[in-house]
Amino acid sequence: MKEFTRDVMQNSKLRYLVLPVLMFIVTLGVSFSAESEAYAQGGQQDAPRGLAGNETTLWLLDAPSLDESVLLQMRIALEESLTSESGKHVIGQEAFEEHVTSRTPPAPSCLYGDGSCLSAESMAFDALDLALVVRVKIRKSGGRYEAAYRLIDRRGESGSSDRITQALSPRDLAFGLVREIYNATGTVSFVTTPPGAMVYVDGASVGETPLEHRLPIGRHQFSIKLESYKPVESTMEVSSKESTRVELGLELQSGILVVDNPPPGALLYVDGGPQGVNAEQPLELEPGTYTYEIRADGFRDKKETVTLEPGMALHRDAKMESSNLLMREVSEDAILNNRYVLRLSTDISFQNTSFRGARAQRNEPELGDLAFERFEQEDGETELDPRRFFATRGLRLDMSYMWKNFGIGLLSLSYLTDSSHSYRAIIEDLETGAEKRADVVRVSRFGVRPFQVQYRRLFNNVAPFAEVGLGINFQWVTLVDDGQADEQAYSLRQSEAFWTLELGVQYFFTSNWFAVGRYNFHDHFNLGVGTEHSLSIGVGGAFSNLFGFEPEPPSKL
Amino acid sequence: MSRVRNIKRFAVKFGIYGVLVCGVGAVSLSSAPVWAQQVASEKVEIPSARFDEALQKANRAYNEEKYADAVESYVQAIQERPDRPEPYRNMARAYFWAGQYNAALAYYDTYLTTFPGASDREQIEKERRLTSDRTSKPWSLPEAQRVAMRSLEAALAGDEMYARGGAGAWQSYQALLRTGYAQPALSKFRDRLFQKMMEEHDRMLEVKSGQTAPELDTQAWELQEQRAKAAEELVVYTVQRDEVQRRQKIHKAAEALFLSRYEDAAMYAEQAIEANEDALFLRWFFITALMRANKTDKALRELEKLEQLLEQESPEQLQYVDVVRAMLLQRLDRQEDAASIYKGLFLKG
Repeated sequence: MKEFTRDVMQNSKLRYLVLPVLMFIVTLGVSFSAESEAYAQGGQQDAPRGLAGNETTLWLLDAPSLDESVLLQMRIALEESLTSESGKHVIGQEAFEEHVTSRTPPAPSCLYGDGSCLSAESMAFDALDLALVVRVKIRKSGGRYEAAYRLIDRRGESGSSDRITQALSPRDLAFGLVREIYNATGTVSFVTTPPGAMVYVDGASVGETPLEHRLPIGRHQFSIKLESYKPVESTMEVSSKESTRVELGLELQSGILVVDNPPPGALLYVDGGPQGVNAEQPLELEPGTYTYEIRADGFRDKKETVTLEPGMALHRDAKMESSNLLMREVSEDAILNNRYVLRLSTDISFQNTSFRGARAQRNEPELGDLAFERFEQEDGETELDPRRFFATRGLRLDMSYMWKNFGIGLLSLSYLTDSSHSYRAIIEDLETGAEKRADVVRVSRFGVRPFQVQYRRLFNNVAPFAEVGLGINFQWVTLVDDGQADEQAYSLRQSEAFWTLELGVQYFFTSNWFAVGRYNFHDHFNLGVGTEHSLSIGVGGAFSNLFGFEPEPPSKL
Repeated sequence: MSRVRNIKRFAVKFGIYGVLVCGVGAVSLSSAPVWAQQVASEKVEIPSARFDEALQKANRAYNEEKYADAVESYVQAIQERPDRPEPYRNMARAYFWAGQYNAALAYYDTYLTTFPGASDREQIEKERRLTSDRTSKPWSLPEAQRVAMRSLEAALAGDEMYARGGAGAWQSYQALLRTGYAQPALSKFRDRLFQKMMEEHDRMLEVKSGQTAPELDTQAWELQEQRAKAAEELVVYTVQRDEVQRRQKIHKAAEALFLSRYEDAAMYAEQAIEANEDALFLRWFFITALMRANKTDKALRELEKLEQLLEQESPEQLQYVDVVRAMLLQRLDRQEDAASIYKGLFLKG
């Protein structure tokens, strides 16, 4: 009988006859496993892990002091009793070798650090696709059969010491053992969207989702990790009565936005948010599309739309344009060092004036000098010496030497004329005292300012300045006598001293070239001549070392 | 001709500025024995095309009187090779012509004090005198540079050198460069950062007890790769370049493994082992790759070699040797032997 049974067990065809139910479960398991493989993305190199019903349990039976038939009875009884428990059961040495042959385990990823290796045992569990190993030592004591068993799962041993169960026959022992073991453990299934996440139970990796795993009953801590997704950590209660199901939708990990080369103090505003963050720090954001804005003092706001991938750092260059077009980076030192300053400007000058005292010597000795008496009074005008309005235009050239704030004028010349007005005037012949009428058709002035003092302040490349000085205007008044042709025009001459106050601003393009604008107030010492207001715009140059005396660095390398 | 000049420059550098270079060597290898320091002082510099380009560009801009552009490129040149004298001198001159006399003065001073034996010292001292006549304003490091320098110092004393997105001391270093910082002290920062980045890199490769390899995922390896690439930008000497390249071989093997290119992985792992003899985890890389590439016999031979090494160096990893052997035997249809190894594991204890 014993030999026959062994034959039955060694002949695989007969074995299928003896164990049709077990075979059915195995088939079922394979079909599920195929399904799980289809789910398992990215884990192709690993053997498909079990879904419900595909757990494999290895039973290692050992009965050193007993007859071999006891082992055989146990095996048959176990197979019978286990039909109600799901999964595949590998019982005994031959079945185990068969099981080993049926697998070609891939090299575990943890060997190269993709996940951690829990232990050699857990690696063996993976290699053989086992969920549980039950180690049973059978002995006989006082007429009863006794099984000392130990459950080992992929995380190591569930219990440190052997549990013992007793029965009168090997068959009862097997049934009692199965009942006891399956009350002490429960299954838990892990399903995630998307699948393929690594599951860790009580700190050890147990496989990738979707996954069914058997655990001792009680509370267990678990965590689930998948690349690009946020890890999940939690606890669960495992009971022997029903399968625990952990179902999770995983959230994508943040993306990182890195702004390269932001101007100092730049702030980053995301999706119009009110709070700016330091643009120099990488910013973690949920994956998605964002519009961000970089703002920095002195620069135009920069706006851009980006799409962040989970777990990826996106670098954007923050090259920003300077917002202030007027302020230029011109070295203050260089401006200050360029001490010789030349200015050429076009001036327009407004004045109500009289030319009383302007004279002309006539060439013929018999004729007396002519003098400007006054403008002819117009209707209703009561003044004795009425003034007339002139707007003279012309050019002015200045040269000065500047220290940091103060400067002195070395030379200032101007020439301005106005021929746009025509006023009636009374001219006196000084020899005869006779008066005649003439039209003033043109006024020309040559101004010389021998003494000028300037004060300036430099704000970056802009230098407002004030200037006071003394000067003389040499003035020609061109007249045409009443009833005479224009060709008969003659000029009366006059010179007037004045003091001036000027207010202006220089705008440096470079340390050598600038634009200048100024207002000029002239007050003449001769009270009869009205004050003059002039406006001028012009260009200028500023130069250092104008005469090349100093030893400078080479201009070419 | 330019080769001759390079050699000459090199000779001048090590003749006259040897003290400086030795100083740098001593900083980076302060804990090394005396003989190692001597070796370090003979470090061979890698020619830098970026430095040459920047310097040429700067000189061109100088000759075209575009001094702001020139200064910008001199800054680049200094940042590329902070221990070369020419850019400091030329930058001083560019600042002079740009009229920034205080900055010019500062760079004349830097040149004269950092490279006291320069052959054009007399001329430069004259230029410096003229410059100092023209300015009374003292020059100080711009605020942004001072702040960036302090934060780099703090970052270097901290424990994050290169993290995701380049965060950490690396970022502080880049921020300092962006401020236009161009001082001889940059060498010192650069050397320290390089060394610390390498240390950080290697710390990531430490194998935890009970493991066979550093536990890194693709992202972590990517970060390692980026870290090495960043460190490569700091490289000045051939020894430093070798250090980086040695590590890049490891990355290549890891990358191939993670991308399931096992034939390549096996080849790269073998090269990585050659370059990093002490790193036992690379042997696991090799065995895993061989297994996955179905080179079972070779894997088994390598496993035996590894077993001998582990007996000496890391016996706690021997348990994995057994399982892997069982797996290999399974593939060789020696299921009886395999089963007995497995059984031995389950019955242990």
